[in-house]
Amino acid sequence: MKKAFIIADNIFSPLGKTSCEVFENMAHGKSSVKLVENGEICRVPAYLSVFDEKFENKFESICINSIHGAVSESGIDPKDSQTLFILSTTKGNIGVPLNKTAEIIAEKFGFINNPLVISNACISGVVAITIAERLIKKGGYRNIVVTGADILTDFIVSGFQSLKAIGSTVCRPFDVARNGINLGECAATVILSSDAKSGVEVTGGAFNGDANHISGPSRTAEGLYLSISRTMNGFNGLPSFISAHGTATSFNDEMESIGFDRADLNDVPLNSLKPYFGHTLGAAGIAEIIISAHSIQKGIALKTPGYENHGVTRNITVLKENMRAELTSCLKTASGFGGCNASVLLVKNK
Amino acid sequence: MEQLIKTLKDQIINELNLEDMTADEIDAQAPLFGEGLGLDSIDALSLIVLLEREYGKKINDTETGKKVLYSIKTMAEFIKS
Amino acid sequence: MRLKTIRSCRISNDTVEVDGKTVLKTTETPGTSKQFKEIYLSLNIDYPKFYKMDMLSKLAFLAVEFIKNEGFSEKDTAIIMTNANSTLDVDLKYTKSIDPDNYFPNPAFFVYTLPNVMIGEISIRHNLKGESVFVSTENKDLELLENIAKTLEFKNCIAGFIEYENENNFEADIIFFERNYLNGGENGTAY
Repeated sequence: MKKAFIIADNIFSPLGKTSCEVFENMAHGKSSVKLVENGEICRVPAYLSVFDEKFENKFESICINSIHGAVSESGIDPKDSQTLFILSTTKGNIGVPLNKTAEIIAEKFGFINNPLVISNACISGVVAITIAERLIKKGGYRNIVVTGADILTDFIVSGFQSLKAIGSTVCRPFDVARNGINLGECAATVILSSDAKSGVEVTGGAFNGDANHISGPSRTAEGLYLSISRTMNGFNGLPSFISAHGTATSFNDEMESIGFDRADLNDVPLNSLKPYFGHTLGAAGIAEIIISAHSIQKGIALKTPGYENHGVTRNITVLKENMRAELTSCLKTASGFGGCNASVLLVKNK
Repeated sequence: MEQLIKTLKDQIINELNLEDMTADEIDAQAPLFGEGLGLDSIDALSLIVLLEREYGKKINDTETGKKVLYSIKTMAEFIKS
Repeated sequence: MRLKTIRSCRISNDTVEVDGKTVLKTTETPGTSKQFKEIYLSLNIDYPKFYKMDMLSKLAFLAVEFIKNEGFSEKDTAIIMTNANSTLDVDLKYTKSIDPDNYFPNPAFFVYTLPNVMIGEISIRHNLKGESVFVSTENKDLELLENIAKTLEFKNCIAGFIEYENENNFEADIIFFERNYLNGGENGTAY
């Protein structure tokens, strides 16, 4: 059976233009989230992470930058017939069909196969990686370039403001004083390959629905618990750490704590990366998987900035400080509108 | 007040897509949330937008929101205040 | 044929077809709220939440309602939905609510501006917690559905193309199927 290893990655974000740069900034506690008042991105000021520079065709540009960063590191040939490009995004370029945008991007690299375009709210990235892993396992493709991206416009920002979901500070996941999310722009790319024999492997994942409400999570974390159970099925022991969704809304973080509690993951150190670069929507799953993979390689699980006083009903172990340890695996989780939930397992394999 | 309540009822039916409901069927004193109309969190947010858009009245915190949105009567009283 | 199709539904223009047979011809203008209400009423169900949905979710809801059956399983029914224009219709409606001169962002529209939310509505209605995904595609593509289906875990699956761009461009075309193991549904080139 083929295995899917991460052979290259890139995060192109206001917090850095390479994965290493972003990781270093995070390890030093830096954040690109700030109060944005310039009116171009949002009419009502909000705590966001946005690019300072201007881009021509912003969405395509950040994707192309990110893919270029990963592909050049990987040495793969995008034009190979056994290479697939997957795009994960919630809104892409609003007004342009997502499949069209994906084709424009794909053309720049000469990807031969039709891009697969997944748009599944905030779990798009984790779903994309899970599907990529399954495709590699089944032997259909040798290399899969998975890119997640979203840009911010008043459409998106005002929408979350209308739901009263945006926090009044840099967000504070799992903290008692948390009051909402930060949004962030980002493009992130991971290349999975069946050619590699060692490194960080994506061993499997699963996604499930709450069947409860389209914008509020299940009070019993139904879908998340199902997803985690299925992902962890067959795994010996516990993951070294968890990279949670941790958006810092009252409801999401509480729901996640219930999900982790039901899955007996109370003692597993966990973090949320959202305070560092915001909730990057379609890019979130990919970027956070990349940081988690780097954490495994470097032996540093990052803390959750802003978490000071435990603010969820279940006992879970939220990291207050960076943790240096031998990390061999990570469980990444995500939840989104529509009541969807996803999780995926990363394992260090020699 | 009577006229305002009647108008509010029609606006709420329209805003929340309460199809096939008429103003007469809605009790202005009855709680909007919980039983009765079966409204949810998105409906609450829609009502907040309605108050601002049609009447220029802003609700800035959850506590005020809960009190104002208790019933159509409390909404009307808030508008008049 | 790798998929064993059990049910199918197509809603297009003034016609609802179930399992290849016309079951309803509507009288209201196609693609309007009134027409969708007419179709809803023909089903004789009581689901007031239908009226809160955007047009895309209403269309998806209706199509699935015509094929619902005892095979729907809480944990083992997957859902794959596709279209070309995502949530363009409600995107435009939401955009009007953030007009600079009349700026009142509407949360009831915004929650529908993600294409997987129609899957959420179906899940809630039929209590389906299995795997689901929305994929953007230029055209109806059965091969794409088959290929995605190969990557999901399920006993049976609701899949199809649900498009609502506007009154003049809308269509629902869905199937409910099981894997057909006899034809090697597990093997062969994935995707």
